Amino acid sequence: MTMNRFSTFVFVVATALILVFLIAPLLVVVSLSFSQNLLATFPPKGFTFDWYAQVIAQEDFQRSFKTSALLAVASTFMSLMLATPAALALNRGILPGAAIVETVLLSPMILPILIAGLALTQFTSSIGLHSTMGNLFIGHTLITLPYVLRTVTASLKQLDHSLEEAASTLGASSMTIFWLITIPQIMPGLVAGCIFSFMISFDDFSLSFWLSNTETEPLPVFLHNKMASVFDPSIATMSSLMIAVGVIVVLLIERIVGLRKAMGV
Amino acid sequence: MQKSKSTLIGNRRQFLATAGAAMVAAPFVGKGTAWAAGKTLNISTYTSVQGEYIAKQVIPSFEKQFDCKVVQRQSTTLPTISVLRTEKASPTLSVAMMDDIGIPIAKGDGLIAKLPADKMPNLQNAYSRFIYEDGFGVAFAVCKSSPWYNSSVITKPMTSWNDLWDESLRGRLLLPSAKLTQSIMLLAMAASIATGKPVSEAQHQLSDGWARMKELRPNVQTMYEATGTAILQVAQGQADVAGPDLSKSMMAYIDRGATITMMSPKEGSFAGVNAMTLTANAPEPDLGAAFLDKMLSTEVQAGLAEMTYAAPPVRGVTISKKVMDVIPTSEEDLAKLHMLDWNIVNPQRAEIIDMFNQIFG
Repeated sequence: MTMNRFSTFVFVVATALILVFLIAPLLVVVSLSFSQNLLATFPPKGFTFDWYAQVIAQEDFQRSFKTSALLAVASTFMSLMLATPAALALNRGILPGAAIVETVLLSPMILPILIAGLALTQFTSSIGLHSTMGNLFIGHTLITLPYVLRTVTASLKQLDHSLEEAASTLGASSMTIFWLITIPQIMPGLVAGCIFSFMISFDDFSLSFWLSNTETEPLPVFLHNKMASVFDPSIATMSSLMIAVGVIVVLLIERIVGLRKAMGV
Repeated sequence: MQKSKSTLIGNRRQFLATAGAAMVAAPFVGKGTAWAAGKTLNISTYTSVQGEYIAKQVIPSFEKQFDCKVVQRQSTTLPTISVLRTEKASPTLSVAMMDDIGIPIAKGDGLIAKLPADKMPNLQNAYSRFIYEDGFGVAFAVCKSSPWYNSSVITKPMTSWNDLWDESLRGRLLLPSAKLTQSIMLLAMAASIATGKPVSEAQHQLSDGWARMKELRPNVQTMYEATGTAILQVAQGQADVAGPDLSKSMMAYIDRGATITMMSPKEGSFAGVNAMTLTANAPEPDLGAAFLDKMLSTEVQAGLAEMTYAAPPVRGVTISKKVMDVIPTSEEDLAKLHMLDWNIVNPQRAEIIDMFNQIFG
């Protein structure tokens, strides 16, 4: 009994320490965003919302925020459209050389994104593709697709095929089976893939750095360039807003599907 | 009297040079700007205050003047060279800005073209010292590079590079990462101190500086890659001294009340040179040349100097006292800044980075 209490105590303390370790840096950033200092020095002094008012009113920031949001939604949608059928084909064992195809599709997760970005710059330049947004969309789809593929593949492994077979026996078409039997069963994987994909795209700097310009500049690149000028609390404010987007996405998922279900737990 | 005569001579020379340049440029300028209408110019600039000034002041005015579109990428020297390399067969950039260190590399790789003097009348006004590799690059801003310190902690002004080795700074010094050009400046100064030779000579024997660099180790707290965070660390009192680094990075913080002071060492400061080039096989070479010319105009140069605390490397620019107090601006004073010969340094760069990492890593 005493041992059980002790283990529980150790578990709670360890969990609390891990949480502090993970959250403390974020709290420092958020606290700096309310500082009245003209520089992002710690500890912050005073309390003000001025930096938020200033940042939100900034046209450059609004443009970058919209670019990042649009890019994240578009690349997540495209990844979902490509990765779901790919995962189905790979999972059903109907594709010759499935292991090789899967490795190729997952390779952006293994390759350094910085190198992938440079390679993509060379590729788009060589084929004369000069649309910045188009190139960013291709790049972001490339790096987000593996995340959707992984989560959907994991969900498919838990799929109860007997339900599909039963539906087929009862005369349901392939599309009907897919929409009414398969999709609801792999929904947690799809949702989790979308969350990962959105956040990977929204936070990406390494790839966007090579492919963007000041007109089409995702938020992390905008933030990086701003930091090179002067590190004031507006940088912390922009970072806090990015953190807020992440938190909102997670809360929405919890509200809509439930985090445990979404993560397949 | 003598002074006014020299001013007169100076003015006459300047007039002749300007008139000559105008004549040479006449065929190009005479075409007006209709040829540029509707074109798109892709340029790579620096980040930071310079990038912002170019985005907010230079580009809108240039677009209006030439009825064209300018697409700006903000980057730094090495990534810019990487992009030029990857796009060599089919470049998108017409103008690429890079430190003087990058120009010999870019020229050697065939990534940049000789600047067309006939299409850049303002090139005549650039100090010859700041035209690189037989006209393949020209500086547009020169910063002072020296160490800086927290003046609320170190109340006695630091006046010598040797002060960095002082015992009172044990664990209180931040050095620029070996990847940053400024680290080479420190090594060159260490070689100069060790050999007793001026930097211009000591740069030929950089390896003689390593023993002195090893003596610096006890003082080094860490190495930084982002100048902004290093400035904040010193301003917050987490370290006392840092650098060397560029005046353009410091001043934005000093203006906002950071208690840091840039050293003016008796051994001299280094020149941090921001230069610009025209890419080889540029998609818009004429428009690119016009943009480079605009960057060298007295109007842009004056604005840039005020905004970034960088000296204009061209004649005839009026600078406020506030800027002149930070950096030397006359041709003679700029000549006193130490400038490294990158053709000597670049081949040793990998070895230097290794040694830095061995000593301070």
